[in-house]
Amino acid sequence: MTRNTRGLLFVFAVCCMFVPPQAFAVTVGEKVPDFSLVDVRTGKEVALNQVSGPSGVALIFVATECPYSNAFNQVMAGLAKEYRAHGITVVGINSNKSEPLDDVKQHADSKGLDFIVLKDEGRIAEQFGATRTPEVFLLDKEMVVRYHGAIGNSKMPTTKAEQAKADDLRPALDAVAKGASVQVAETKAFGCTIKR
Amino acid sequence: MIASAVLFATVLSSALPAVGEDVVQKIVEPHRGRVVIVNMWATWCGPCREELPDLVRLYEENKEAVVLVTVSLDEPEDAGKAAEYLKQHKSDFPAYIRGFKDFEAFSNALDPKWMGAIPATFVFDKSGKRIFSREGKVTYDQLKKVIKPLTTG
Repeated sequence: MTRNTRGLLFVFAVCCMFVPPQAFAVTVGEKVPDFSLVDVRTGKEVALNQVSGPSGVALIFVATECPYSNAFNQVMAGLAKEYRAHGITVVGINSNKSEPLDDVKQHADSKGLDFIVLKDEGRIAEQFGATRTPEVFLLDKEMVVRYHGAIGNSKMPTTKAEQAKADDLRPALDAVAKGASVQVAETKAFGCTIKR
Repeated sequence: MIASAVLFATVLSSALPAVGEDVVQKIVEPHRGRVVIVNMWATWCGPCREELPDLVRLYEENKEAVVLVTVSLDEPEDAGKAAEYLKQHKSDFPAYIRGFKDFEAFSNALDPKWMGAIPATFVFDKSGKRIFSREGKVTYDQLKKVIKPLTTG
């Protein structure tokens, strides 16, 4: 075997080895690459940088049928309204395969989700490593993840709207609005599995 | 006679017992010597309801070596509803409902990597060591593969 053929065989072996798809999960402190998803209300694709506020954006993975997610509908709408004034937008992302765009739109309108809701076919949930609803990724104006986890009630998760609180997310939102560091940057959220 | 009637009535009306942060001591350790499948579910969770018959079947077929323990994550006041649903499966596996005060401590006891999505299933070997964790639906075949090496030899 000549040196050249050996070299070729080596290249062949390397190029054809099975390489599993890289699981990419976003971690706190990491910058998120821009992405585009369809806004369920307009049917048009929007980019992350178009829906982010001047101080940042809270991306919240949501579901139409998960009671843990639905318990927070009004809390999320309240946060969207409140933090808009502080330059942070709330954006919902529905990645459940079993919940088509029309259902997500209908749910967003009927449940008063007065913020942008995007439909994901699973790609973005995978990219973020999001597995449950509700699950928050709070990004600052540089698109760096500053907080990941629950909206609230992470000590005692609830399916009851009257008990839902934003006690986990709120301090992080306040810190990002001020450009300060987030004290508790990661909590365990509780909810339903995202069905990709 | 009266006593047994009262007892019977109590059993019928009683909902599921609660389990808290001591979940492993309470529902895994008493079954030392058998493989323990712990399943987290809720009445409103579609995929949970879909997988339960598979889990029950696996338990029924391997009762000597395997025990299934379910923990409902319904609101505690829905214990009756959860118990009612489980009755349909006509099986005798131990069933509990959530009674924790701190979800983080509860979930960490089962698996620190469990981020709290349901359904979730954990398998502990005969010595009580956790050897399998899954967030999302599991099937009969998947779990059978997990328990087979643990129940033979």
